[in-house]
Parts: sequence; C-alpha cells; structure tokens
Amino acid sequence: MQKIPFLLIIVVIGVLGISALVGILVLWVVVHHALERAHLQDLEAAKSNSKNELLSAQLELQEQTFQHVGREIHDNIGQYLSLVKLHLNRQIPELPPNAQGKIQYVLELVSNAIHDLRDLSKSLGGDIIREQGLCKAIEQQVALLESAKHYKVTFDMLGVYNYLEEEKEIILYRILQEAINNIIRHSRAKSIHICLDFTHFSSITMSIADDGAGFDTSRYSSHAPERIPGGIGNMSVRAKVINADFEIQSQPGEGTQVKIVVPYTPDI
Amino acid sequence: MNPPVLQISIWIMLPFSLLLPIIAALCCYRKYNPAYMRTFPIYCVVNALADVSSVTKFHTFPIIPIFTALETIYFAYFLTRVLRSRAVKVILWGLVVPFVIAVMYFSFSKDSYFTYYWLIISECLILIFPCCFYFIEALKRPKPFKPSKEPALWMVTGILYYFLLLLFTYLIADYLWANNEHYQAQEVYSVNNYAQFVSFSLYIYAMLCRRSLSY
Repeated sequence: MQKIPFLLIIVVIGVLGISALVGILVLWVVVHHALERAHLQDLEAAKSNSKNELLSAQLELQEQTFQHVGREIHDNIGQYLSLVKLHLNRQIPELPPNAQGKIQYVLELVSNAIHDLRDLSKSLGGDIIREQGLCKAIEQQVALLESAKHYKVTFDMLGVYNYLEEEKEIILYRILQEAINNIIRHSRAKSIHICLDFTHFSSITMSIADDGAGFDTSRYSSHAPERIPGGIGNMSVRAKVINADFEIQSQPGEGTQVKIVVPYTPDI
Repeated sequence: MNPPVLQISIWIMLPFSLLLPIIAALCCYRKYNPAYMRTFPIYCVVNALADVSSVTKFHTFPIIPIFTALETIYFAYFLTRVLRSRAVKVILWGLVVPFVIAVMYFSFSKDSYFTYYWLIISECLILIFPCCFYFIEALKRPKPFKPSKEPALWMVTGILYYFLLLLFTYLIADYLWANNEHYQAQEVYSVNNYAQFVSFSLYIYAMLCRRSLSY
C-alpha cells in the first residue's frame, strides 16, 4: 500500500512535467516568432525612414537648384534685359519719329519679359512662399494662369489660413505647380479649380481639379510612388516626404482631381 | 465497475469528443482554412465513434487496434502535410507502414492486453518524434508567423501533448497492471482522458485560426 501515494506523486509530477514541457515548447515558438516579427517591423521602419530621408535630400537638392536658377534669372538675365531697356530708352530721342514707335513697342516687350522673369524667379526660388505664404503663392499662380486667357481659374480658400512649416508649404506649392503643368501639357481643360481647405482639425486638404481629357488611373494604382513615371510620380514622392495622402481621381473624358491631405496640428 | 476518477474523466472528455466533429465540420471547410485541415472532420467522427464504443461496452478488442491504426495513419498524413523535411516524412511512413501491418496481424491475437500495450507505446513513439521535429522547423522558419493564424502549431501541440501523456500513462498503468493493482491502473488511465480533453481544446483553437497558410 506504500506504493500508491508514491505512484500518485509520480503521476502528478509526470503529468505536470509533460504539460510544462509542451507549454514551454509552444511558448518558445510563440515568443521566438513574436521577437522575429518585432525585429522585422523595426527593419521595415528603418528602411522606410532611410527611404524618406533619401527622398527628402533629393528634394532639398532640387529646391537648391531651383533657387540657384531663380537667382541666375533675376541677377543675370534680368540685369541684361534692364540694360537693354536702358540703352533703348537712351536711343529713343535720337531716332526718327517713325522708328520711335517701334522701339517703344520693343521696350514694352522687354518690360513684360523682365516682369515675367521676376515672377518666374520668385516662383522657382520659392521666395513668395517664404515671404507671403502658400495662400498668396497660389493666388499668384492663379493670376499667372488667368493672364494667359486660356483657362477659367477659380481658387477657394476654406477656413482660416494658418502658416504651415516652410518645408510643407514649399512641397505643396511644388505639387500645385506640377499639377498645373500637367493640366497645361496633357488635359486640354477649359477650367481649373483649386481649393485649400483648412476646415478640418487635424489635416489640410489641397485639391486641383480640371475638366479636361482625364486618364485611366488604374495604370498607376499598384505602383510605389517612386516608381510612377513623370509628373504624377513627382507629386506622389513629394507628398510622401511630408507624410501626406496623395490621391488622383480621374476617368477618361471626365477630368482629373488631384487631392493632397497633409497631417496638421494647429497652434492653439 | 470503473473507479470514480476514471468515470469522471470519461464524462469530461466525452462531450468534447462528440462536439469535435460538429465544430470541425463547421470550421474546417471555410475558405481561409488551410487544405491540411480538410480531412480533420473525418478523423473527429471516427474518434467520437471509438470513444462512444468504449463507454457503451460495445468496446471489443479488435475495434481499438483498428482505430489505433487509423488514428496513426491520419496523424502521420497530417504531419506529412505540415512538415517540410523530406527525410522525416520518409522515416515517418517507414515506421507507420510496418506498424499498421503489425496492428492488422496482431488484432486478433489471443494475448490482447500485451499486444494492445505495445501498439499504443509504438504509436506514441512513432508520432512524438515528427511532432518534436515540427517545433524545430517552426523555430527555424525564415519568415516569422503569427501563432494565432497558424492552425498547424496548435494541432501539433495537441498531438504531442496527448501522445506524450499517453506514453507516460501507459508505462505507469502497465507497471500497476503487472503488479495486480488493476483498480489503480484504471485510475491512472484516467489521465489519458484529461489529456484528450486538453488536446481537443487545442484542436478547436486550431480550427478557429482564421488565415490559411501554404506551409
């Protein structure tokens, strides 16, 4: 009879031991895979960060190039044109009256060229953004487009404009320029509608819509932003740098709408 | 008369055994369950029939060895589907085939207890080793997986747990049986029913895992 309690202890220890053994085995697998997954997620995050940093550096370089070109236009070509204007002005009194009219016309053209180059220089350098903010920069773009008398351009500003970080404003402005460039080159549109929406608490939405030819967006839906060719790719990459959602809605024959939603924390 | 401990263990295990085929039929044919789960309801039905027969005294000697052979074939098939190592699969079937032939040969042997004892011990040993190998493979997988979405992990855990305890129980019960402690041997045998209860719970958890995996 002494054997029975002894056996009972063996049975209990055996059952508990086997249960613990299997439990530890499963736990080991579960923990091992949880750690592996966490490690992979960290790697993915690091990869994505370095990709973003690279894109950011590329855009910064591009921005510096734009500023350089803008300065060159302003300081160099602008200077030459001003000299041309000065010389022509000096020549006018010495010319016969019938030639004076023609030179006046040339002077007007040169003045227009100087004015347009100044605008282009400001636009390339992003000076207007730094000096007056995104809203004014968009208004200037609208005025430029309207002056071409080819498009009916409308600009809506919803909510109260709040200055964003300079980087965000410049990138939004570049996206707008790219979208307008695409409209001019491909859309055959008659009207353009730009909207800057500050009514949401945690985001700002900028949309650029046209009534042009449109296109099939499914061609790009499966591509990573950096692999989309041309203007759409440029806009998409820029949006990614400021963590914005970038969306294009378009159908052949039904126009195109580009929408960028930027995360935003208002100063309270 | 069965000892009360054994009787209680049967009444805990039996409802689960009867519930298992129903849950298996409902869960294993969903589109996100992996293909290796499709045959599981068949095993559950056979297992429930064997458990009911053991309770209703319909329990005659050839039924259990035949069920043991079918169970071994099913689990060997299941492990073949979830294991990657070709060598382990070959060794597994190299052991299962002679085992099944031996079961058929000894099913009608006169010394039924002796035969049955060795059948169970062999079955346990045959199935424990590929289960352990599955865990080694699971730890070596190049791509981490989510255990809550991996039915095979819980199925193999259930199989390993059940057969480890069955092996242990049978070794103890045989010792008691050999010393004419038949009553205590039956009491120890109740551990088998509790182990079945735990492994059935693990099978149910496996069936509720949602994502199918090609592995």
